[in-house]
Amino acid sequence: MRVAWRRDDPEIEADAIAFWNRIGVLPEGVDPAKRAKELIAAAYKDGQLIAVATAIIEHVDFLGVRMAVLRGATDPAHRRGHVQLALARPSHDALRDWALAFPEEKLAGAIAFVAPGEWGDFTRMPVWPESELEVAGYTPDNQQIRIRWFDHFRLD
Amino acid sequence: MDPNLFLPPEQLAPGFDLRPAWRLGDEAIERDAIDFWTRTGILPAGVTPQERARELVAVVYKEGSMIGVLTAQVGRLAQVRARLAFVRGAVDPEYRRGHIGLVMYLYARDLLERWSAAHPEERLAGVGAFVESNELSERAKSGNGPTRLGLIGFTPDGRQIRVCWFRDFRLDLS
Repeated sequence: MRVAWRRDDPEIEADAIAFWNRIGVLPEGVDPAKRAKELIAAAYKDGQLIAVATAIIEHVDFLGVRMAVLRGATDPAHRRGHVQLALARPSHDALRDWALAFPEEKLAGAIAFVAPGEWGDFTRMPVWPESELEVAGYTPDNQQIRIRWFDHFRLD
Repeated sequence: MDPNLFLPPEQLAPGFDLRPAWRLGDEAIERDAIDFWTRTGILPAGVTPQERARELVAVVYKEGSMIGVLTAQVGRLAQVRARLAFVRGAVDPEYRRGHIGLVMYLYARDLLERWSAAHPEERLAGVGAFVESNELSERAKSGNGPTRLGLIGFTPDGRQIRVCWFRDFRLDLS
């Protein structure tokens, strides 16, 4: 596991761009170089990057706070493993440490939008292990909304 | 300051007697609760003590006198597509400065979680609470915190909606 959040690490960014190009998961119109600036952490196996977690910070209207909107991508050859689960803790810690170091950013926690079709029975767990992402609702197109608050954060 | 929440709730408040009441139909506890509500006058207009007594989850006694009650109504929260026990707590004004309300909640939450596991047909997924935003205590400013009651949104009139999931529960896929 290698943490990348706001580190501008050219090596991890280059590996991530090569990873996205290799597995072809980035939607059309998304610039890999720009997405690389959103990296939180990357997982490597035998020297090859096999999964990434990325985030952008957005205001979440229904909670009235700013949160890191999480995304993950895993090499199809490793989807049956628990790579994203393994990325969860270091990703949380990296975002939390950054939020603590930059209180003016008022980052309250993390939020993820989860397609039940992609995650199957895992979406039946109200609280996920490792990430501690909890169900907080559903979008109109039936994605689960999961959130995790940072322990230190206090609402205005 | 919060007590050590890693201890069982029964050990967090020495000298206080926590008792279960959920779905027990315990007439003595119900009578004491009705006396408590009548004495403290904290029930809203239109709610009879007899009705509320049927929703008792847990109670607290001090030296033989009831000083706290926690009740729950089970209902579906559409936002999370699950049935939750919506809890309300009341503590005798003389004891509100301590943490007995928090201890009573922890005791009641664990009780409901065990009851849910024993009655899977009830599909009780967790505990819900509506918290007045103008009562922003330190715990209500926290997104989650030691009660595990995580903030998931606000009602149209500005109250916080909080949910504590039972970790072993499994949601319906719909």
